[in-house]
Amino acid sequence: MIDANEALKNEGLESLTKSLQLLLSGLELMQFGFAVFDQDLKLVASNKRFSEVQGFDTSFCKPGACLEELFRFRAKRGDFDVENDDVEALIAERLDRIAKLEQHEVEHKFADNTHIVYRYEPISQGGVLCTLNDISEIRRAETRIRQLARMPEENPNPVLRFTRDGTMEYANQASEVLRASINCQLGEKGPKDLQKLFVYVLKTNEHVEFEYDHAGRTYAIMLAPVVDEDIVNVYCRDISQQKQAQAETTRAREKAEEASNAKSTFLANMSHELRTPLNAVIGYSELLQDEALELPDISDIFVPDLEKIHSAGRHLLDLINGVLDISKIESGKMETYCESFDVYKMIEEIPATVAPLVDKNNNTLRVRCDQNIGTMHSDLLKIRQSIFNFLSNAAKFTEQGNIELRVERGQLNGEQAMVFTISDTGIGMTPEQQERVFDPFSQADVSTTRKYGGTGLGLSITQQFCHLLGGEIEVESQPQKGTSFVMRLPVFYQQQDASSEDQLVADELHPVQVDNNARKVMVVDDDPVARDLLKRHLEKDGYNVTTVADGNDVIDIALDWQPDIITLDVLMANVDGWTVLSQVKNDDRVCHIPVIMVSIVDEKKMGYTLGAADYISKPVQQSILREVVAKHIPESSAAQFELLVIDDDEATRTVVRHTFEKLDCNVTEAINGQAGWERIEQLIPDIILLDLMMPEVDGFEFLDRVKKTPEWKDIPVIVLTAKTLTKADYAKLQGRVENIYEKSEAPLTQILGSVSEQIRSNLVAPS
Amino acid sequence: MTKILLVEDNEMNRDMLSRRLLRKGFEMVIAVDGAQGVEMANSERPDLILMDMSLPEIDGWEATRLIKSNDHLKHTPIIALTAHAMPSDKQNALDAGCDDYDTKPVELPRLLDKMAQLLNAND
Repeated sequence: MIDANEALKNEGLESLTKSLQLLLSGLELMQFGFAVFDQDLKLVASNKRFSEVQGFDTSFCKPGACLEELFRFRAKRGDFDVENDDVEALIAERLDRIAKLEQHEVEHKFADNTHIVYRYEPISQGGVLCTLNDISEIRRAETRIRQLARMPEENPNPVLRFTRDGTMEYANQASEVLRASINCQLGEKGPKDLQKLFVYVLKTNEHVEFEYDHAGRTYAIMLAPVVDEDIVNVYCRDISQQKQAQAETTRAREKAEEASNAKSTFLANMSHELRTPLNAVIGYSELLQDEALELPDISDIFVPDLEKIHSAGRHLLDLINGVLDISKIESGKMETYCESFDVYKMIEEIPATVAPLVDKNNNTLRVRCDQNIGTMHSDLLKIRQSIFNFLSNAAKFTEQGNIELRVERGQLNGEQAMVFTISDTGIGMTPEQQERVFDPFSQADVSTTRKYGGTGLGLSITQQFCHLLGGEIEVESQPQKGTSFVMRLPVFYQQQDASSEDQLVADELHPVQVDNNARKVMVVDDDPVARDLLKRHLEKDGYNVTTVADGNDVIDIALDWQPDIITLDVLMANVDGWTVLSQVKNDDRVCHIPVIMVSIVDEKKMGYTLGAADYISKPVQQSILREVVAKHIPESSAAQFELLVIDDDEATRTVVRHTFEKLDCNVTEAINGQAGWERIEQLIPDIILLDLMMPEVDGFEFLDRVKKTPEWKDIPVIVLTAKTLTKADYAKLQGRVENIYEKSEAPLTQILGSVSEQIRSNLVAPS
Repeated sequence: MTKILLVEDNEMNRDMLSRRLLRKGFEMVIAVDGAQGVEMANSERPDLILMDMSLPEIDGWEATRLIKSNDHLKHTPIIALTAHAMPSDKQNALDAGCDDYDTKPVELPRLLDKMAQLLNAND
């Protein structure tokens, strides 16, 4: 039989053993190494980690093992970096310290780079607790921080760190000169102007870069806020040398520009000075030829020589002009004058101009260009001169052959282009000659020059012109078969000088803001370039523009879009402008819209007979367009002042209507709040006169929704009520209405008089 | 006979152009600077004026403006002659009130053509 007490005791022992086992298992799992030694420094218990960390065999490190033995084992293993003789001393010292039962820590770094902190702690009942803490991670992080901390130190540029209040918290070696010059050392406040910036960057949490001139040096400074720490890192770079180099470059460039300007001025002046006497040489040789022809005796002798003087003079003049052109192009001084022009019209005039050249060698010129090829926006004079140069070249090197000038629409780098092809059946060129054909002063060979004349500059200038206008030239040729030049030019050329380029970019970034309330212009033209030009011009003037390519769509789009005015091209591919004009004028729904005819064909009378409001000739000049459109656009109706009166009392509404219509206001009425909302949904009034007591939706409810709706909340509201307002009513209206009138205060007409005064005195002035 | 006023400061150009136009059957009157040009436009009442643009005293642009602002003279056609061959020169001349424009050295047939056009229009 087991005693009950004994049983209890046994049970208690069992439970104690269980708890102890649990405790030991827990200690086993602990990430700290752990060991308990008794008074004699013999091991009582330890966990696995204790052995693991120190590399002890569990058979060696078991209860009863001496701490001294453990030390000796480690010493033998070479854990302690001391000579053999000193090992015993070291052990003795360690043991002595532990035996003294004073709490202390020893850090040890093992061969595998683990850092362990041994913590010895006396246990009150005697004995020592030893815990091992692995701080390798911390030590590694510390090492890393130390290494990183070297970086700003080694940085050859100044690196500083300031607190929010401007105190310098860190400064690297390289900042010495800078610190001295701004007179600020560690722990001191930095320059006042910088302090302001610290606060700013900490607020915005954005880097700020700027240049800082000090004591004859220039620094590029970057402030990098560290908002979490309320710290600003300051990175500096001495850019004095760079600045100096830059300044020198600028100076050099200015000098070069000056020289180039001087050269251009010199050339311009020289060309003038050369042309004046040449004028005399050419003129007198012509004069003498005329006079000599009247004297048959001597004309045979003199006329051929005079002709030579004359032609040499002309040649010299061409050369001067060519050299001047080339030098202008080279110095970037060649300006372009862009305008919109009809390509067919330009081409039409060419045969007459080149006829003498073409006829000289008995050649035939054929021109192929569609009459409706459309307009171009480019430099007319340069294009004409280029075509002329090609044709004169063709005429020069072709005898009794054919020369053809062909104009077509095409593509260049994905954009619309005008393609001019000039081909001949002349002497042609070898591939080598083709390579040099555009070089200045490089006619095929010297004998060519002698035989065919010319300056050798024409094609070179032509190519430069073509590049200047954003185009390109190709040449194809076979000796004895002929040559053809293909010049592709963008249909819409935007002048490339800095200001217009900026403008173009600006236009792209900020497309012309089209105000939806702006007057609406509908542009009808089948030529995309002309459409685009008109659109740009008109949008610049603040019009809302829509473009229509097909004349057949005009009525439909006009009905839908309700333009205030239409510009209509006369010559269109699908349907001509006159037909469209008469369609518009015979349709009751759109006949009120003024139509401005735009055309290269001058037929004003026809336009006026058919009901056109005005007539503009193409190419359109912006000033004329602006003037004509402004003249015919109907007076705006938007200027009328819209007043909405919401009142269930018909008499009040009528009086309001009469009073304000006399003042040129447009008055709309609503019989309660609901009707009021419906009105506003259709048209936002400039002002609302509001009654408070109304059936269904009353004034308060009406006002609530108006003030909550973003589009409506800014409409001024004046309360006009028969209700005697309570304090609570006033509180509800306070700050949400412009004014409150109680009908009982005064006769209605008198109240309305002051309301209209108020409207007039800018409080709610119509915009 | 059609009377032409030539305003030109360069002696050679003056001599040459006037002689050539004389041969074409025009009556020539000549001014050597802008001020004289304006004066002679008034006293001689020419049918057409050929005006050099770079002139001493009063330049061609100014002289043209003065002539064109005179009610009695404003219908007298003026052709600007200049050695500058920039498109802006042409515009400047037209802006000043010139009716047409030609570059120097003068190509006589072309100039005669322009003169004929303006003289016919004025008949």
